[in-house]
Amino acid sequence: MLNTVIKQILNRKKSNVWITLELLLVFCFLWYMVDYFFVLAYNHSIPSHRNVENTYKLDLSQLSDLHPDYKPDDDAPLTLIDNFYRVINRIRLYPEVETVGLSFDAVPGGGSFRGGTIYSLEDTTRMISSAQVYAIVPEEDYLKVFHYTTDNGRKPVSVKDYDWSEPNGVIITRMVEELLFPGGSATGKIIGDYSKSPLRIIDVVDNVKRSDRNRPYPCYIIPQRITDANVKYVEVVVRTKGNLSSADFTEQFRRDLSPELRIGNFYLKNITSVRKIGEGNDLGFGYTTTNRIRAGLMLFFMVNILLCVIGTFWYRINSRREEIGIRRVMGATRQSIFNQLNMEGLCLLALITLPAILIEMQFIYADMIETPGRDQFSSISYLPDRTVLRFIITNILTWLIMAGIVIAGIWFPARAASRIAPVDALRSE
Amino acid sequence: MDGKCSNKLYMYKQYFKQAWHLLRQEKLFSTIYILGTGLSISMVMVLAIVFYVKIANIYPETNRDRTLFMRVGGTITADGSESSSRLSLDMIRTTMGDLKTAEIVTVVYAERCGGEVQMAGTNENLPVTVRYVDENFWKVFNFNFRDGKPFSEADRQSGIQTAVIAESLAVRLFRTTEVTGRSVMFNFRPYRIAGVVKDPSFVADKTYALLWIPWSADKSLSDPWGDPSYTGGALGRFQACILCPSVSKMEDVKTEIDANVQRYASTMTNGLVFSVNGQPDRQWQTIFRCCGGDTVDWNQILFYYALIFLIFLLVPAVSLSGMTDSRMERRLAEMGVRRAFGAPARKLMTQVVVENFVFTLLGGTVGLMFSWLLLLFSRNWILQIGQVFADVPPDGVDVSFSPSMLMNYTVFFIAFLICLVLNILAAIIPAWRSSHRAIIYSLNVK
Repeated sequence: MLNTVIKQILNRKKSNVWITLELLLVFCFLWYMVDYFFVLAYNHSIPSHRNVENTYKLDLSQLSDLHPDYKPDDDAPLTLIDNFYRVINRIRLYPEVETVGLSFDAVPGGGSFRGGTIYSLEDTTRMISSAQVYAIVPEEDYLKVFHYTTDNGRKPVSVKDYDWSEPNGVIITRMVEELLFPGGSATGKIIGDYSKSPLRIIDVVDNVKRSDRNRPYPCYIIPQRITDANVKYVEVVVRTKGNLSSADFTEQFRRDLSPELRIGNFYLKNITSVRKIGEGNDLGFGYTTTNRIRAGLMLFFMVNILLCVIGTFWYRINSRREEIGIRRVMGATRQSIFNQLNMEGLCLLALITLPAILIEMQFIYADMIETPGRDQFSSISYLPDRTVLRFIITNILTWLIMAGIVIAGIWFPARAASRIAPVDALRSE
Repeated sequence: MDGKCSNKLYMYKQYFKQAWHLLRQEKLFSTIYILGTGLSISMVMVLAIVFYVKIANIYPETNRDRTLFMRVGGTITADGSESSSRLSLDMIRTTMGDLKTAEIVTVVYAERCGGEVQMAGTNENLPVTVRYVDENFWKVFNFNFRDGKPFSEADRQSGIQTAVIAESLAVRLFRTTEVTGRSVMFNFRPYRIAGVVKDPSFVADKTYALLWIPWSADKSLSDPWGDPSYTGGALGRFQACILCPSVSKMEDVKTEIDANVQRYASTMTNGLVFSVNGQPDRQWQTIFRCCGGDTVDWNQILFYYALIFLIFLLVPAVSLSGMTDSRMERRLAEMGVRRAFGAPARKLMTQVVVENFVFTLLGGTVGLMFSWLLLLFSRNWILQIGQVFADVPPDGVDVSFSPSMLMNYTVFFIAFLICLVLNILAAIIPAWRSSHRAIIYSLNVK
C-alpha cells in the first residue's frame, strides 16, 4: 500500500508542491507556538506548595483628613494600632472566615516584590542576590491562610508551630536550602543577610512559585511587627470556610462588615480574591495578552492547514473519481479507500518533517526561542532547559497535532468520495 | 479608443460573469476558498484596525496627525546610575515654553489617575479616572462641549478648584448635562464644574478620563520631584503635547525643540547626562515608547510588524495558490482551446487573476466583517497589542469602538489593498502556469 501511495504522490508532484510547502510553513510556525505553550504548561505543572483558593485580600484604608468623619485623635500612634487590632478581631469573628493572616509584600501573585540578598555563612560564595522576602506578622496565621507545607506538600504548617520570640528567626523555602546548603539540611543554620543581622533558620518549607507561569522562586519568610508607621502598608488576608462562591462571599462580607469595620479612621475599602489579584497582575504585565495573541495565531495556523487539506484533497478526489470507482469495483471497501487517502496525507507530512526540523533548528541557533519563567537560578535545571529533549517532545507534539488536522481535513472529502457508487464513478470512464 | 475601452469593459464583465458561474458551480470549493481568504484578511484587518484607532485622528484627539509628544526623559549620572521618568515643569517650560514654530503647547500631569467622586446625599464613593491638565489642553484636543466651556488660564493661575466633567459622569451624578456652575466632590474637595464634554473612548489614550482638573488645583502635584543629583531637575511628573500648525511644519517644530533640549541638556552639572532619546514623537511612535531611558529602534519595530503582516498573508496565500492551481488544472482544456484559437498567454493570465479577484473580494468582505466581530469580542484587551506594559482599563470601564472607527474609507481602502496583494500572491503563479502550458498538453487533457 505504501508503494502505491508513494507512486501516487510522485505522479502528482506538481500539484503536491503547494500543499507540501504549506505543510512545511505551518509545521514550523505551529512548532514555535507549541514550544512556547509546552514550556508554559510545564511551568504550570510544577507544584506551588501553597493554595490561594478561597483566600481574599482586604483593603483597609484610612479616611483622608478632608473627610467630614475624620477624627485627628484616632491617628495617635497607640489608638491607631489599637483600632487596627479591633478591626482584625471583628474580621476574625465573622462566621465565614476560617483564618486571618497579616503580612507585608507577601500576597501570592500580588506583583509586589521585596528583594533581599542572603548568603551561607559556611561558604560565602553561595549567595542569592535577589531572593524574595515575605514579611509576616506572627500574631496572625499567614502560613495557614495560604496552606504552606513541608515534606513535599504532606505536612501543613502554621505560624503557631514556631517560636517567634527570637526576632532573627527565618523560614526558608526548599530552593533556598538547595542553593545555599546543597546536599545538607539547613534547619538551625545561620545565614547572612546584607540588609540586617544574621538570620537563624527555624524551618524549611516547600517551594512556592511567584505565579503559575513561573518556576519556583527562592523565598524566605521573616517576622515583622506592626507599628503606627507601617500599619497602612499591612496586607490583611483571610481564608474562608469555602461555603460561598467568590462573588457571594465578597458581597456578603462587604454588606455585613462594612459598617462594623468603620473603627477610628479605618474603613473597608475593597475586598478582592487573591486569585483575581494574580490574574490582574498577569494582565497588567501583558502576559495574558501575549498568551491570547499566541493562542490566536496557533488557531490561525491550524485552521489554515485544515482548509488547505480540505481544498486540495477535494479536488484531488474529484479528479480521481474514475480511479476510486475502479478500486471499488475491484472490491476495495470504503474504509480502505479512506485509509489510502489518509496515508497519502500522512506521507506528505512525513516528507516535510525533516526539512521542518532543519528550519526549526535555525530558530534555535538564532536564539529566537523563548523559555518563559527561566530566571537567573540556572544551577537548578528543569526539563525546558534540556534543549534536545524539549526539541524532540515539542516536535512530536506538533507532528501529532498536524496529523490530526490532516486526517480531519481528508475525512470530509473522502467520506463524500467513498460514498460514490462504483457505477456512477465508472460512467465517466 | 472608445470602442477599445468598452470592449475591455465587456471583457472584464465577462470574466466576472464566468467567475460568478464557477462560484455557483463548485459551492464547497468556493466556500473553502472564500473562508481561507476571509481568515487571512480578518487577521490582517484586526491588526490594521488596532493600529488605525491608535494612530488616526479620533475624537477628541482629532489633531493626532499634527501633534508631537514629549513624554519621558532619562538621566545617567557620572557613575552610571540611570533614572527615567516623566519630565519636570521646569524642563518643559525651558525647552517648549516659547516655541516660535509651534501653534500651542499643553502641559499634562503624568497619565490618568484614579480617584473617587462622592455622591451627594449618600455614603457612596464612585471611582473615576481623572486627568490633571492645563487650559491649552482644550485647544490641542478638540472636545465637544455639551455645556459650559473649558477652564481658562486665569483659572489655572489662580489655582481655583474647577473641573470639566464627562457627559456620562454628569448624568450619573445629576441626571442632566446642564450642570455648569454646580459643584462636584472629588476626593472630598469641592470643584466647580466649568463645562461638560462628550465622553472620549478609552482608545483615546492621551485624553481619556471622566474628570479633568487643572493641575494647579492640587499644589502637591507641581512640587519638585526626586533627588536632583539624579534627576538634574529635568525629570518630574509632567509631559507636553505640542500642536503644530500643519503636518508639513512638524519637522521645523521638532528641529526647534531638539535645539532647545540640547541647550537645556548642556546645562546639567556634575557629569549628569540628560536625554529625551529622540523625542518629541509623532503619535505612532508614542505607541512603542515606554520608558524614558531607552532609545527605540524604529526600523526594528517596523520590520517586526511587516513580518507579522507577511506571515498573515503568506501562510494562507500558499494554500490558496494550491487551490487555484487545482482549479486551473480542471480548466486546462478550456485554456488549451482558447490558446489554440489565438488568445495570447498574457490575456489568459489577466483573466485568471481577475476571475480570482472575485473570490478574493468576497473573502475580503467576509473577512472584514469577521474582523469587526473579533474586535468586538476582544475590545477590552486587543489594544494592548504592541504595548510593553498593558494599559488595562480600570474596573467598570468598557472599551468601545465607535462605528466610525471600524467603518470608514481608510479601513475600506486598507482592506481593498490587502485583497489586491493577497490575490496577486495567491493567483499569479497558478495563472502563469496554466496559461503557459504547451497547447498540445492542455488540449490532450480531454
